[in-house]
Amino acid sequence: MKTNDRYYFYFKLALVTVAAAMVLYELFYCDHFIGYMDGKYYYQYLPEFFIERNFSFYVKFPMGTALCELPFFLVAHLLTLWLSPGNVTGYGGFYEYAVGFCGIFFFLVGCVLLFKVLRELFESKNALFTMLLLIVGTPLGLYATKYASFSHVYTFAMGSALLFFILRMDADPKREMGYAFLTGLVAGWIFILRNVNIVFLLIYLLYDFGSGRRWTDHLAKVFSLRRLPFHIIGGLVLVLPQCLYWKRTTGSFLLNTYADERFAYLGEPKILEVLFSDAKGYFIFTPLMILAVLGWFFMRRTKAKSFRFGVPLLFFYILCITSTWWCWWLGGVYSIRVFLDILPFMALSLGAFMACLDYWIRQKSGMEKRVYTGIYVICILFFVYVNLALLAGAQRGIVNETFSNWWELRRAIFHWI
Amino acid sequence: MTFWENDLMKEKQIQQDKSVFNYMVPAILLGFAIFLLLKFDGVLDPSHRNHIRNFESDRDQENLYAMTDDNAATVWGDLSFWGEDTVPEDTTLTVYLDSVRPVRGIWMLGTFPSELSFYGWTGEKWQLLAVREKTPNNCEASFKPMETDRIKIEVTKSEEGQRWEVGEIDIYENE
Repeated sequence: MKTNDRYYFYFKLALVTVAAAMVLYELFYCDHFIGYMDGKYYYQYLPEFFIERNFSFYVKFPMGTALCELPFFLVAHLLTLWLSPGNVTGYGGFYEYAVGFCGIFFFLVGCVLLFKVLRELFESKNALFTMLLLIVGTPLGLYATKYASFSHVYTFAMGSALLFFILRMDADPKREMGYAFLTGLVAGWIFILRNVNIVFLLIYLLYDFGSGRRWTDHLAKVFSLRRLPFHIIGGLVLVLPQCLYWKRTTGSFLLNTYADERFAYLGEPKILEVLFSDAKGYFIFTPLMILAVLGWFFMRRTKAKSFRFGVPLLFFYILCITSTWWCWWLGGVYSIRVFLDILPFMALSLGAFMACLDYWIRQKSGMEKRVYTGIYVICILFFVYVNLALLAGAQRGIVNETFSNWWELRRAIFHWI
Repeated sequence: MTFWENDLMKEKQIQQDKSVFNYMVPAILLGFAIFLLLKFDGVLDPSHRNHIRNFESDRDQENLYAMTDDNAATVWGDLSFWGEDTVPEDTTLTVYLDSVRPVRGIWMLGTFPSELSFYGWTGEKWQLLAVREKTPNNCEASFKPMETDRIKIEVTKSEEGQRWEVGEIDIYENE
């Protein structure tokens, strides 16, 4: 583990500033956090369990998000009982802000863990720069605040934790079993946040894939007695209660909670729409991530090479399930939000790109260096600007969050110019 | 050092990176930035070429959407009734043009319900222009030229499993 340096200080400073801005946004701009589409169903477990005492309650969404929100909900519940006992409904007042602050908390946890991961793999300067780009160049902040009741910011935090523990297991053999337990726990949490994301475990299984013996040695460690039992125990801590609850409410331990819905576009996946449409395109709304895609080809140059197969694979996995899903646009919420779930993994390839770019620019001098630096800086700033302008446009009602048209995007982009 | 495992690899990869970072990556990034600018300016959208200003469906109603994407307009109906994807009768798509134009026909690529009716806005009311039955992959309606700034297309007959997805729209004008 790297010791603290000035970049760590800058990172903490930036994070505190961003967190303060988020708190101000929640206090003075966004007045509710629960009632958005799926978000309210993720949350609904808490009022049903703790206020209605209804333990037969069933929704298709698993309980991982509610588990993240639980401590904040309990504080809000106690405050409501104390200060406003007539409003113990589970909604409104303190309960809304509990969810909002919960999103910020997990955003911070995810960012800190991801920064530590990036510092293990790249120079601190590049890790810092990558983190700053992720914060200002993606809609992560929106899903940590206004849409905090959705599962995505929590999945981001758990994905970061998964990467952190994967690296720690190798780096600290003395605590290997403890970290193995925590890896299992985090994997279980990812499963009960969004069941299909259990595939994220491939990032662990494919660690060092393509490096010959190193991969088979890694698999031997994964399935060794020093890890596997602890993975399983850690995973069951959270998965078992979810399965028992499904059994109680539906009669089945394992459930396809989306059984009524289907992959309507299996024969004609909406890949172009998911990636490039004006309506929701991932690279249109978050163009910065084109650098992360380019980074796939540079990962093998860096310490992040151990993840060079897992990261693209998870990207294509998310792309496939989204572009074939009947609701490929994922409802009336900003952008193709499920890509936020793999943001910690894409951060590795973004970091690899930034590290190689930084190295290459440093090899240049004079006018040549200034020209190339200028090109890259302008492109990156433009990509960040697009993200921020469209986010602002959506908040001001210019950009329709369900389906936007190009003239809505144009209004949002050129509004500030 | 984060990057190379040995000097031989370093030399080889530095040569590779030279062309990649000097030419390929800047070209990709600049190309992508230009693509975004064109996209935001609507130049890449077929509707731009067709003088189409806007599409409107009952977009604010649940389960029914009109949108434009790379291929003009798409309309979905009733997809939230899972397992059924029949476009409901009375579903409408209104195409707004950027000015009053002498429209004489519309051609659409996609999948269609049994019957569509085409209306033109006279300034006071909708005037029926044509009724077209289901065709396999495209739908074309020609009618007596009409000066209008908006055309409404309505599903007047729909059967089980019939969807209405418009992949591309062309508006024919009187020369």
